[in-house]
Amino acid sequence: MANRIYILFFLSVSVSTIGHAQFQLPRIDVEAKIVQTVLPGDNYDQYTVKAIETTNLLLGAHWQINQHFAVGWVYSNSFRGSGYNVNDFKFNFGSGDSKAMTMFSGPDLRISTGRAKKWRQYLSINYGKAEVVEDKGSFRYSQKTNAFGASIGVARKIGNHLYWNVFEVGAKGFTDKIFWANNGFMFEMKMGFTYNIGKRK
Amino acid sequence: MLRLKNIGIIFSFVTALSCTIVKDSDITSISQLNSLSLKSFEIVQNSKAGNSTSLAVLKYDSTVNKISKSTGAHVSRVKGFTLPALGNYKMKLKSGVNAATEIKIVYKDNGSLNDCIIYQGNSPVESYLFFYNTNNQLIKVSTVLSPTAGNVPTYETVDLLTFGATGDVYPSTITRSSTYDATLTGTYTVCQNCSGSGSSSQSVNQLTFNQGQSQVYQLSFNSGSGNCSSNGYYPYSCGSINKTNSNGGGGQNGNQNQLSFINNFTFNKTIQTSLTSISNTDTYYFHPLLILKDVVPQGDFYFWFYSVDWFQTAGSPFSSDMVKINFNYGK
Repeated sequence: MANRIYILFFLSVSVSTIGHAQFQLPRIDVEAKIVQTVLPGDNYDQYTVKAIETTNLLLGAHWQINQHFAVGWVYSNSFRGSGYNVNDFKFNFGSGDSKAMTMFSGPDLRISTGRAKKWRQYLSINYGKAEVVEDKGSFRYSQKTNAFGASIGVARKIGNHLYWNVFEVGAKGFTDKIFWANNGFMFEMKMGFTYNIGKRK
Repeated sequence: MLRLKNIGIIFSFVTALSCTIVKDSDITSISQLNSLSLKSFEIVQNSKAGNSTSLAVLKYDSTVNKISKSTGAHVSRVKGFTLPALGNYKMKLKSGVNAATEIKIVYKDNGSLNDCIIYQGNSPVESYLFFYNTNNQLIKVSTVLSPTAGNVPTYETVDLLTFGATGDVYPSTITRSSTYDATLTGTYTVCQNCSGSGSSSQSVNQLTFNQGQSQVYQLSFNSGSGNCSSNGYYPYSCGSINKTNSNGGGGQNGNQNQLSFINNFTFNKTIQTSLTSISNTDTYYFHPLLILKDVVPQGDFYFWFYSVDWFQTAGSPFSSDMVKINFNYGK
């Protein structure tokens, strides 16, 4: 399902980009980022998962109101992830003892500094649907919730239309605790690229 | 045309919005998890002698309403698993049976383990009875091998567990008696914080087995190398055990633990149990608590005690062998 969405998304972006020369889509950018999430569990309760970490592909698009404000949608889904139950999580990524996934989808507001020759800083605020899954082998835990997130980052301009999102850090708070983690937030680190389709903003 | 392309982008995100990674079969609450029951378990042996996988599947799961003749407790559920022959690798049945067996498990009204009988055909070959006090503390374990009527048992013990004070979590002594073999009789003195480090005040880290005034051997929990990284809140989710005789020996392994185990569990369900021995000449004997510790109060402690009790080691550090037990749950 996720793969189909990615294909659909890139097809749409490709079509839009092809049409760019003729139609100059106004003030739209698309982004693709790799996201590393860490969801701390409860290390002091006897049964809960100690931590979940996943690596996600994030896709997004924003309509640029002006050079400082943009609103859009972001979608993030895991292509790998681990749950730490027996093993302690000490940033030993990939050394968990179960499989884990996270998903986020929701509207996003981006506030950025003005156009500059190289560097632009930005703040991203989003709210949407979040899902967390841990596959224990013989059964899976899952929870749907809403999440409020914010992140700050810096992007470097590397072309007329292309920005490199060098580093972005953020966190998301869930409206409901993840019941088998006894916790309700996660950290994120992101890196990727943003492509301006229309006029420069 | 321009609108069509914009609509394409919007359509992509609307599709993404409706996407979910949650399946209908997923567990979304503790009550849903509790409703799952053990449907099968597999014993995976990776040893120098050979590898094998034995899948035990649920044969029956029935509700009953009767008084157990063996323990006198009221029981309400009985389950049966068929277990293929374990082979001649690492894990064996203590009775010596190397053939397909059936494991009958009987539960009390509160879900605690009442008894476990292993049958070969229609003949019981191993019998384990569990008795509790009114506080649901385990106070007695009776073990008989080859208990077929008319046959002389090949092994028979009764373990009486006594608690030092009301509210104690773990027993202070385990007194073993046997009408079959006088060498089996003696008293395990359960010692909290007698050795090692990192254990909480509610944990046991040493047992000594005494016959009369003489110490025969000592079991030390997490005393040597190879300790797990358990945080101590749940002391027996993983660990290592060193078994030494009264002269401080224990074979050629020095201070290394001879048996290590890891339990991967969540809430009241064990997902996987791994047992690793230091020597490929060691033997594990199948004990019901290997698969039923979740339904015995303080079962993780009794799991390592009886696992070690059922563990035979030469203590020589050759290549390590591993046995894994995978638990499969369903609705």
